Amino acid sequence: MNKKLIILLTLGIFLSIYLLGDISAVCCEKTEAGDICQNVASAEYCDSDYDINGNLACSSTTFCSTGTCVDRTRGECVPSTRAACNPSQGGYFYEQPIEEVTECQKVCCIVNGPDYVEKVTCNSIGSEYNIQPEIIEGISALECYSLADADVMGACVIENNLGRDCDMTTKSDCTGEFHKGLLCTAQDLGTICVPSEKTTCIEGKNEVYFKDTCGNNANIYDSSKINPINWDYWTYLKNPYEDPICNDGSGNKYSSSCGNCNYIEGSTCGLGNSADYGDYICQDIDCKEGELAEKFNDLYDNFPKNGDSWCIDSLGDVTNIRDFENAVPGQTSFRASCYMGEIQFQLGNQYRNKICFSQRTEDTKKINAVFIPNRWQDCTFQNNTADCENTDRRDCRVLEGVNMVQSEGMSKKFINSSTDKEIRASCVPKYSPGLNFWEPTLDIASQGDNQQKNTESVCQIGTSICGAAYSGEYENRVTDWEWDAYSWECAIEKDCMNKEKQGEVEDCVEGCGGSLCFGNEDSDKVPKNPNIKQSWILNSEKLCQNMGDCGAKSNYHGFIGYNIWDDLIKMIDTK
Amino acid sequence: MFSMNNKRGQVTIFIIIAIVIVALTALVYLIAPSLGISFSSSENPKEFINTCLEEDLYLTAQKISMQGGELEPEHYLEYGNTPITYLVYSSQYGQSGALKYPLLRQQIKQEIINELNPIIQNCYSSMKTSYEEKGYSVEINSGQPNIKILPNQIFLETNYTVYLTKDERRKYENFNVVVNNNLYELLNIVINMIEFASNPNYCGIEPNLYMNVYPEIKVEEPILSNEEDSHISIVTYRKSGDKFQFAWRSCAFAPGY
Repeated sequence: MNKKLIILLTLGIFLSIYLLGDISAVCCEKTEAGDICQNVASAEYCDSDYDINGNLACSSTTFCSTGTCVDRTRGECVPSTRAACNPSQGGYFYEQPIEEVTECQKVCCIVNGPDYVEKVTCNSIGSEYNIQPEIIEGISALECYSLADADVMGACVIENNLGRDCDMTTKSDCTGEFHKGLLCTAQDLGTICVPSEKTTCIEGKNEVYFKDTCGNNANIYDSSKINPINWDYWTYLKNPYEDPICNDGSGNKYSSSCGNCNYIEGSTCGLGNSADYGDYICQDIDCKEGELAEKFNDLYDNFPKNGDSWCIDSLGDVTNIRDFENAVPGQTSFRASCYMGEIQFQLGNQYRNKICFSQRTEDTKKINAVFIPNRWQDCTFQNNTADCENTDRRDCRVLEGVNMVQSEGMSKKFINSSTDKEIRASCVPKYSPGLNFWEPTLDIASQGDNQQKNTESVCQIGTSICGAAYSGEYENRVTDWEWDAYSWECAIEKDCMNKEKQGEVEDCVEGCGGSLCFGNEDSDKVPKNPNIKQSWILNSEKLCQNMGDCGAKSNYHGFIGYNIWDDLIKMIDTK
Repeated sequence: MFSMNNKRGQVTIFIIIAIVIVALTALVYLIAPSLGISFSSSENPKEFINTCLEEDLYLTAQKISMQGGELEPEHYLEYGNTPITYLVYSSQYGQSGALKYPLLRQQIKQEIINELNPIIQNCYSSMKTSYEEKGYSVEINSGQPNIKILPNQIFLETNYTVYLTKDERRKYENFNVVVNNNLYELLNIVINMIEFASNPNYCGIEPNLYMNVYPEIKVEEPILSNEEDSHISIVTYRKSGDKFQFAWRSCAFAPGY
């Protein structure tokens, strides 16, 4: 097979995969394996009880279009395909999207206090409590929650054989006399409950709370309020968002006097013996142990805080996306996150199709990392600097000094959009992707995918070929080459030779400046003993390397790979 | 001499105390049934059923949580020798996956009931045999079991009615089994996650989003070495250690082009 055909085939495969995606012949509404709406190679994979379309991809069929599955028993609306919405499990399918289904409209639902939920959910909650819920339509969530007066906590006083007993509860749950916003220890209530030195943690909350002698939770622990007793503090329920509560501004970690813990600041209620009263304190949940925390501290001069996330590489070193501009085999992007004193990490994508990007906010000093897609797939299609560097569409960069091969005898033209002139450059991935380089000829194909590709064919795109037409001595042989040049500069030479034949110029080689890749560094003219130009080699190496895990590279540990450049750079005498 | 008499006296007192204890114990055992008090699980049919089913309910819920909502997954990703169901899947690169179970709670309830149904029947058979051996005549009206996944617990209503007849005929119903489990809390999170993963605008799960809002849970995504870009998400309720894990593949990236 000649080179032209190979290159065209490779580009053809590349283009078709990119443009068409993985196309399979048949769409099953449900497969034998139970998966919903899958494109497969043959109808034999489909569950014959469900729809099958042999002509269209699932995304184009009506039976796989997404509608809404409503579970009236449970009270849920979920975007779903028809096949997945199982009627035997209470599912009812609507073809419309959620926002167009009346049952899924948000309403203010009053059952033991207001809640802004879907209508179907409200009915379901009502059934659960065996009451008819009050539904108010057409009001906002804010308006709905402002009706929450009945849900405010307070002291519920009940006379029993012990005297005036008291529970902290909501008005709707109170079966005795309800005193909104008051604690059971309020003196005016005359209950049997009095302040105690005991404290507790409450499930779902982060703060430490005082308890009264009846076991009710009181306000957030503040040791200055118990001895002597501050009756305002032991009378009214304090709102943590409105009322002044003890606070050192950094989560009150290990404070003996204040239980106003703050999850965002890195503290939460936990057992501790250093409190002035009770057995609970604000425990520090920042991450201060382990190698990853130490490496973070080395860079930022503080340990990771609860909720911090940052980028690391395969060795645990702190990185960021820019470190992947010349990624080497095995270099992968991870995200480390600190929660509840524990560092956990997550891989973006082992082929660097997603790369971690982190930012530190100056005001809060919090560092936050996310994975962003590495949009390198169409870089090699771009033929000008503006399209190549359009960061809204892709993650590519202009590599100067070398053109990609388009077809035999021709390099791919590349335009400087500012000057509208041709330049010697290529558009390459900004963050070089990973490839399955250890199995270079292994076909990569998805289920039901009849397209084939492999690492070798991908790296082939980064191959540079430079032809030279010259006469001279090469490796002790006297040659007389008249080969069509690959590069556009060499094409000028070809053109020049035509001119020479027509008598328009006398010395074509001299006049056209020689080859792009052959010659002495200091001379543009074709030498008698040509060498491959070092600058051309370096540019070609860069092009190859930027295509991904191609060419000769050391891995992320610094170990040299099985290719060396000397083996990969060849001079071929085609004459 | 004095001390010897004293020792004999002590022994006598001990013997009397021992006899009194034995007599009282026997009396309590004799009187207790008439007071409706039982001392052995086998004397109370509800406790018999509870003992018989509790562990199976717990283990079934645990297994189903570890396998992504199915007891015998057909299409799964294996992780730590556990087959984990794909709850969101697309076989193709770059396309958002379809939700397998939009009604995941119902699916799980159904799976648990299917698994427990024969066990429930066996438990009632065993109970019948056990009581018949004790001289009871046993009549069992079987019902349709129901599962409720509630905050902090899973509630199994067997909906059976049992009549025990010996000297009198007594009716027993409301045979319910409760196990502590945070499946309810975990499913609230998981259902939201799979909706995000199957939504073409998001096509993924952001663990930190959930951990920022819900301190009580941990979301992990173990590092897998797979060509097809599949993922496993593990949601753990920190306090109890209960987990729910599931596999998903949505908008997968192909290795290379």
